[in-house]
Amino acid sequence: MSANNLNIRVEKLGKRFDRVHEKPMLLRETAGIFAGRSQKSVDDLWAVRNVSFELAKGETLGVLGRNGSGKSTLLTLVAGTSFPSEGSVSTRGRISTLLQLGAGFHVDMTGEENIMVNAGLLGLSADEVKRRTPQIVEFAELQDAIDTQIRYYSSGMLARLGFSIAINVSPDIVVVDEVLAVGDLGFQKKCMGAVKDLQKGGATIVLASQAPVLVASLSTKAIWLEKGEIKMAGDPSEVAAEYNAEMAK
Amino acid sequence: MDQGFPPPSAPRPLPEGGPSPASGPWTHRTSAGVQFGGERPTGNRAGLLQSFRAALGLTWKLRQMLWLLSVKDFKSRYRAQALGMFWSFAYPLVMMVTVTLAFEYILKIPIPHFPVFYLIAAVFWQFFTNATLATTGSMMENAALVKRTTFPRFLIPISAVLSHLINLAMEFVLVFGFYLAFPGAYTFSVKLIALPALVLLVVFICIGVGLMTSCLNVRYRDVFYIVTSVITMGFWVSPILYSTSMAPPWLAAILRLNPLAGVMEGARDVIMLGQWPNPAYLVPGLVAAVVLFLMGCFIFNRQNLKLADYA
Repeated sequence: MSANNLNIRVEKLGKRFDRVHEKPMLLRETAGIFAGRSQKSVDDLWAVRNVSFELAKGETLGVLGRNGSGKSTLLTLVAGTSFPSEGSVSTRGRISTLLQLGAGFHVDMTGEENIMVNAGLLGLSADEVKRRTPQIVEFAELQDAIDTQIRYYSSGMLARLGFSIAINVSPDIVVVDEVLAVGDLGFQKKCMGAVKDLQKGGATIVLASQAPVLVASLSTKAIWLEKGEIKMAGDPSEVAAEYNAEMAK
Repeated sequence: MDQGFPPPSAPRPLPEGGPSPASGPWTHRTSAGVQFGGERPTGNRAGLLQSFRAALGLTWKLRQMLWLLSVKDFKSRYRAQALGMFWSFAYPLVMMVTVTLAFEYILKIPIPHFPVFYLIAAVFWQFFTNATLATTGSMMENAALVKRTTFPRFLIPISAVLSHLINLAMEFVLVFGFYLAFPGAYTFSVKLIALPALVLLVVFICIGVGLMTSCLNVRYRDVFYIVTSVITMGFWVSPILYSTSMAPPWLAAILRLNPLAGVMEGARDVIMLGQWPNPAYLVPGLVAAVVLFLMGCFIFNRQNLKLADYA
């Protein structure tokens, strides 16, 4: 595969969290510096370690793993909200993210205003956002509630709006974390369709899920994370089958 | 344009401007920070200047969103209150009446047009304290945004300052509205054009402070209390209830080192006397604005890497 086609390259990626058991305090640490004492973190936790993969345009990576296996951390690293402790993440193009339900929404704003802000932040001009708004509203099935403040939305409505914005801004890269699970079955089906359209359009997608079926049906590649490291990588249906077998034990 | 969506099975035409045929330059993220361009990460992070230029470009590009966010923030401050924006007038008014009673009628402070004299400086002080406190807590308040979205983070403290700037604009309506009650206190002239420049100076000071304190406050929650203490003290060392010229020369010289002193007295000169602000007194403010803003950018640029881990 030619390197020209790549949208994401992750190399030996690692993310360490210091698990400090006491709250850091400005005065204490400053005093520590002046006293020549270095602050030692009691224990550190590698949430992600030694993860490498490459994704070309149109490819989709499914990330499987239990709770706490590092899926979400890996996704924030790819999305660029947190920074690696070692290794590198390289991306090209517009990244749209769905990492948490309702993140980035302002509860005091109406659905329409949130579309304006969120789509704008993803790099669309105000005119472009206005032109795409009907399309976003229609896909989210929120015609009746779009001029209502987000605080009165149900979690399903939030998920729909978030997803609809994320896919309708012509992203080059989409990072999705579990959010699809919230919508009802009909909407989930619609999302699958939209994801397939994005793939055809050349977008690169990274999605984390607990559902091997979803990963098997949507991904072109899959990895299975355990304790932050890749336990298995390869064909989605094979990885999903292995994962299923392990979970059934 | 077709607004509806065909059933998922049918191929949907790509939105206009869809995925670019050849994606743009790489963005690399390593433990050293962000690096723009180049095929492979070299470990050389983008320099301060490059980051600054990128941030400036982004701010310009997102100016409409920034404005929308600031307006919303402003509105949501008064949303749950029955009297709404009345409060943004009420507070300075109540303070003005109280302070005038105490200082003019009881302490007999010999300042002509004391209510207006007080109000002009107080409006600046209100803006400075509210904006600084809001911007200091802004990153914590928007932890979800910081951790879970690609929202450009430096806009969070800036938007907090801008939303209080709307308050300031409203309070200026009050300041000029008092012309009806105290016509003798005002001297209107073209020199009023100096007023926006004075406001801009304070805005830059607030943004500089905000860039520093908002991200330090994420890691060290004590920063908020330090800021609160400094502000409490600041009220008494700022020429709000007095003017520095009333102090003995040695003390006046010290008081004028306060970056806000020149701004407050400058605003009084412009509005009440129709004179230009004294440029010499504005030097501390100018220096503070430049130094704080640069320090803010520098500290923010360093803290940015760890923000999502601690928020």
